[in-house]
Amino acid sequence: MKRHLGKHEFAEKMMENRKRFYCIAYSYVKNEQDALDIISEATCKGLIHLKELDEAEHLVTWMTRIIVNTSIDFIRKNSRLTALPEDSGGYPEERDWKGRQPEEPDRETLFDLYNAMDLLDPEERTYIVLRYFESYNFREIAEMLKIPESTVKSRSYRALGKMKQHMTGG
Amino acid sequence: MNTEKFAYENIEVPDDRLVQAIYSGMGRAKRIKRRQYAARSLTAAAAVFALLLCSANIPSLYAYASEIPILGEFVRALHAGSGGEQTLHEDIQAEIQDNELVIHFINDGRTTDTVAPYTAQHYSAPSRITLTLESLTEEEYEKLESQIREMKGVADVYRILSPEKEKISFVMVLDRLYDYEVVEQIFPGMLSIRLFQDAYYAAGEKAPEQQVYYLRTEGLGQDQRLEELLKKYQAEDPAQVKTQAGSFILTIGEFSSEEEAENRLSELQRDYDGAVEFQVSMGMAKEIPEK
Repeated sequence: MKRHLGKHEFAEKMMENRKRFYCIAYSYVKNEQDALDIISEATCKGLIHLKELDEAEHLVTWMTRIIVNTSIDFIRKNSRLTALPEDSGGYPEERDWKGRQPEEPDRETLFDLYNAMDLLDPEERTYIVLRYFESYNFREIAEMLKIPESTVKSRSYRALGKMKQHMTGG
Repeated sequence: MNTEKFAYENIEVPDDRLVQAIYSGMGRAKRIKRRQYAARSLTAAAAVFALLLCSANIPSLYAYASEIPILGEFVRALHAGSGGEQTLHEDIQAEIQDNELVIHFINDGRTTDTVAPYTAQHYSAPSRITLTLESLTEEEYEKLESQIREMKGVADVYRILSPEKEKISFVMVLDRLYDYEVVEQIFPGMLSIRLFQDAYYAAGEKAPEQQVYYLRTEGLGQDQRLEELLKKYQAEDPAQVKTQAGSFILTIGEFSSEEEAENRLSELQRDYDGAVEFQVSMGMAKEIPEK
């Protein structure tokens, strides 16, 4: 049975899932203030359009979509965030990770992978975040973004391909 | 692929700020909806005067927060009134954003969980907000005052006598009649005062030149005499207003008609053995008494 969500529940769900939402936004902008701005903006949008949410159970995926779209918009408007100059040495916290765990080549690789996301279009980044960070399956992502599952698959693989190429130096 | 854990584990979540970001998003949504509503109720001009006098400023976030249990835990006292609790702090931090003043208390370099006791009152003629803060040092007050002067909508700021020594009271004179909202939040502690266009008239439109009646004394210095009068009429909750001439008057009440004011004066005269210090006067939102 369909059940609409009230403002109370919206607030509760936002609180429950806030860290997860923040991480999604952060994956796009890699910057605390911008991620917070995105969450604030997405919360505002979510609450204004709450009536359009068809079923209460879908709130998390629905909010995820709003956060993803808000993040993409944000990056478009602030294109300076899309890529790092070659010689910048990465973000400060990334240097810290390297410094702390030099003995773990696996992490090194993973870090590169994370870093390689910067090369992706905001849209492509969405597939990586949702599939591999948020562990949604292709079908769920397809529903969330309202595109065919086959498209999700092909775009995800294309995004992975781009990242792989970057990491192997190709 | 195990990027999931790796990537997310290394993201530090600034939880206090995250909670605030969510609140501010919800608050903004509410304001946007409210504006949509306000645009529809522009014709309700007849209600303006009632609104002005009862200062029926819809405490939007309060009404909102009280509906949301989870918010209720964090956002406590709102709108005009008092709140806060003993809060050990070494500094205050005020931020002005257009027409919003946000005060944080700082201890050990961190924002405190609560805010110090405060009282906020709003008056229509002249349009102003009186704020009383406990356990504020002189330096902290000066810092605060200079920042409030930068606030949009604030025409003047001045100190007034505080009924208790450990409290600091001051008046924020507003450049017109505003709707307003006082919000107290805990974990982390935050006190915010926000002014906004009244819901009943459109942006840019002039506030109605409505006359407000009140009882007032003659102009006095900020001296013992004023202090004595404050004490004598304490139970009537007198307000202090700085005149154009720089003197201070005590006022009691805000009434929509001269008759109501006269009635109030009669009561006062009965209760205070003539209450010779007071007489009926009137003014408007943007009108500062001459002397």
